[in-house]
Amino acid sequence: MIIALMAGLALGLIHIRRQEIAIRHEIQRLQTQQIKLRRKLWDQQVRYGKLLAPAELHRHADQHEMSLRYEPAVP
Amino acid sequence: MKQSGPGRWWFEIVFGLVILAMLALCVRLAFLIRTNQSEAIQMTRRQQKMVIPLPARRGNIFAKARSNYVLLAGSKQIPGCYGDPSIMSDSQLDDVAIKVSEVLGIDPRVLQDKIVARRDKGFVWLSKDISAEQAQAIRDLKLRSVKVNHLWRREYPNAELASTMMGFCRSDGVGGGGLELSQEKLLLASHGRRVVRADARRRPIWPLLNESKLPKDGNNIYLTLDAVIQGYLQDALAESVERYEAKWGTGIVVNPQTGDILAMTSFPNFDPNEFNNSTPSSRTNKAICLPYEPGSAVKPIFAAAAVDYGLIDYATQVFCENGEYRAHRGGRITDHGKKYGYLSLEDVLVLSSNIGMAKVGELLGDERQYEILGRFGFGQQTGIELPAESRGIIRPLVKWDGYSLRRVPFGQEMSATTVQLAMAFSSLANGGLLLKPQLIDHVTDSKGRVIFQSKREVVKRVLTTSTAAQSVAVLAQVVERGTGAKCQMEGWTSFGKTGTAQIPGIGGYTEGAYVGTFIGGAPVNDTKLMCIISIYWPDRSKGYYGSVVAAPYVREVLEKALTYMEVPPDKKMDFSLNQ
Repeated sequence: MIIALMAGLALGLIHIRRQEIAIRHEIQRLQTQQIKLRRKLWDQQVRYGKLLAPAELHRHADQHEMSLRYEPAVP
Repeated sequence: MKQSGPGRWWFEIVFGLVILAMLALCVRLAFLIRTNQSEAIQMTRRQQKMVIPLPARRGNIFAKARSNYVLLAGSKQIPGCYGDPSIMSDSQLDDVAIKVSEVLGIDPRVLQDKIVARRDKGFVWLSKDISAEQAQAIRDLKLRSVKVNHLWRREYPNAELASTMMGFCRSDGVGGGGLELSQEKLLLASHGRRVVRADARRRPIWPLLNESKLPKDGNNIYLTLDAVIQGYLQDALAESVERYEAKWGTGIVVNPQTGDILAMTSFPNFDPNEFNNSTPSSRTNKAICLPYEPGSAVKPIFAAAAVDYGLIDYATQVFCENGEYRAHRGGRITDHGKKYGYLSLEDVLVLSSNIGMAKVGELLGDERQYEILGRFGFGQQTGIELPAESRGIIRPLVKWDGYSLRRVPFGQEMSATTVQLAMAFSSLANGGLLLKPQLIDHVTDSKGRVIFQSKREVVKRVLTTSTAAQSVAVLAQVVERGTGAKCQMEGWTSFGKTGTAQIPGIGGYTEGAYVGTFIGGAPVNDTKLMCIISIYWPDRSKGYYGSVVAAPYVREVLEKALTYMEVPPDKKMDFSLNQ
């Protein structure tokens, strides 16, 4: 009876240990993915910033022959 | 029962030898533990533990643009390719260089040279800027001696826009000047780390969560600066400096009601993306670092203070000595060829009479003048959130003489920075309050929560509301019929003051060297904007008066900015069709 209980306990511990290892590895994988995603996000933010820079907007507007230049409010 | 196998004596000998061997091992183990314990523990830890850095990003800096914000400074990681020459044998060198060069598109001989140059070292950059695809291709090569690592790069999408104010970031990720340096603590990122137990082949097998640390990005700074107005100011300043072939120029646009700096620049400026190619002079924010004699631009300050003291009012007649004044121990003062007799204090300002202001100086006396300078913030830092701010130069009172008494009121024998002048004039426009200039509007943490929100900071009341209002009305006359006529706008009323000062050199003023300044604001009744432009040492033959080199450009900036801000024109306009 005791041997059976001990064996059951051992199996349970092994199961928990395996789960823990799997979870820790999952955390590790997610953290790696997080680094990659953050890297991508930072890159996108800078790219977005470049596209929205006033000088860049003017360049694009000029390319499409749209005037974004200052026009006096008073005739 | 008779025993089978080896006899008892033989068994005992083997057993005894095994026990002896175990004892010997125990003794050796104890010896090793005693002698090499700390070293062994360290070695084990080093072998078993692997620390993987988790990068965190330095905070971004944003400027306003209408209702949005535009990115002035942001960071990103870029992949780079490095090699470990120490584990690359001579026979592998050619092969590695060829394979890597095919991916990077670099001549293999160049790569070989790089590796050979650091033959005995463990690290050499092969290329510091590669694409994500190239990085993957390098990884796919599975070379032991060539790997991919990521580098930080600070990007300034608007290049020169506000560069002298914002500064730059050094290649080690630390601010090297301007806001990047002064706000280092706010912008600084706290890198994280992942600690794992690794096997003999350095494969992670067991993450040690307790020893790991999450990365924390730096805070984001949102400036009061408006990118559009900044652009207007930079364009105008560059045009003036180039047209009049000046050594440099500075300019500031400020909201006088709140002290918010809407634009700040100096020219020549630099591209912070390539700060290595710039000169220290082009990186200097001259609007706060370099004081100069403001000349007549400070006359309204002393006139207003004299009125506030009750010594004089704007209608009081002042005798201007018909163009030449020789006071006892006061030297010779002229009105640059103009021969004025009696002028009201208002006209002293409108016509910018030096003699008139020398007389005001005599009325005030040394001590009051010294107090006025301190009251309006001259000789002190304004407290703007930027490094290396100059206090300006105010001589100690004990060193003042008859010259100082009569010259300080028209802006000689003292020096001020552009930001000091901008804030002192703002006090006239906002009813007499000296405000602290605000450059940071708010700061958010990496999760977007506001951790700092700026609010208007009144340093002190410097004038009564009534004197301030009278002063603005007089300055409106300067634009209407005086030296500031080139700041007249079509749609808005405006006020301002010119200043043309000589540049001091060794043993006196330098011949032909001037600073031309104009500081103006609009509209007169509810001033939304103040703008100052100073042009340092323009070519005299092309023009040097503040009314020429600065006033038209202040008008240009104010007109564009008021239009952009949709401030309704306040001038009565004639819309009749029969013109």
